[in-house]
Amino acid sequence: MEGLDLSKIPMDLIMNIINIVILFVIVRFLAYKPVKKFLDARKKRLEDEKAAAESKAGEAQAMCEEYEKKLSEVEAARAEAVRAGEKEGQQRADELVRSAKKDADRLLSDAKQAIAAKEAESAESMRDSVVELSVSIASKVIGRNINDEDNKRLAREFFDEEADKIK
Amino acid sequence: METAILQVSPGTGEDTVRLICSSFEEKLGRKIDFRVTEKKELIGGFIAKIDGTTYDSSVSSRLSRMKIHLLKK
Repeated sequence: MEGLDLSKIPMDLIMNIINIVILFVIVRFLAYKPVKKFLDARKKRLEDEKAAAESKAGEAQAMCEEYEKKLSEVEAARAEAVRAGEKEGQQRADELVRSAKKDADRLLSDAKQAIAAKEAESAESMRDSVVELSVSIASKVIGRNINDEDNKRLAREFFDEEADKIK
Repeated sequence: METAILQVSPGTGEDTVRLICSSFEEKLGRKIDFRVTEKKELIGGFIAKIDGTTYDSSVSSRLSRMKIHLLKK
């Protein structure tokens, strides 16, 4: 390698600098605008996309809120239907209980009447049996004990009491 | 003389029978020929059937009437 020529360094440097400047001017002239245009377009596109995304997010949020609102309404309607159903069910249950109680009361009353009738029938039957037995015993006792004097007295009583019937 | 039937209970004496016959004759004002028979079912007293009419003074009839009266209540 040859030794550096110190007297030429400033000139090379100047030339390099000039080259760089010239290159810079050329590149700036030729490429700056298109690149800037490209970058601007890209920026705009990104901004547009961002705005669209934000818009979509807003719509989604609105739909979500709408959905939740509708869900709340449905839930409220369901709760109301359940309450109404419960109330109706309770009313029907109360009605069934009332009807059953009424039937039970009627059955009880009928049963009491039947029992009373049966008791009266039994009492009457027993009384009839007692009468039959008493008369039977009386006839036997009288038959064993009656004598001629009794028959004579019966005859006299008959003629005294029934005289007007003898024709 | 008409014929009549007189049913008496067992043990009825002749005096009693005569009493019954004479009483009927007196009440009816005529002589009656009674055919006297014994009937145990009468228990006491008599039944006389004269000219289609029955005169019942038997104990059994009284007991029957009493039974009917008691059962009717």
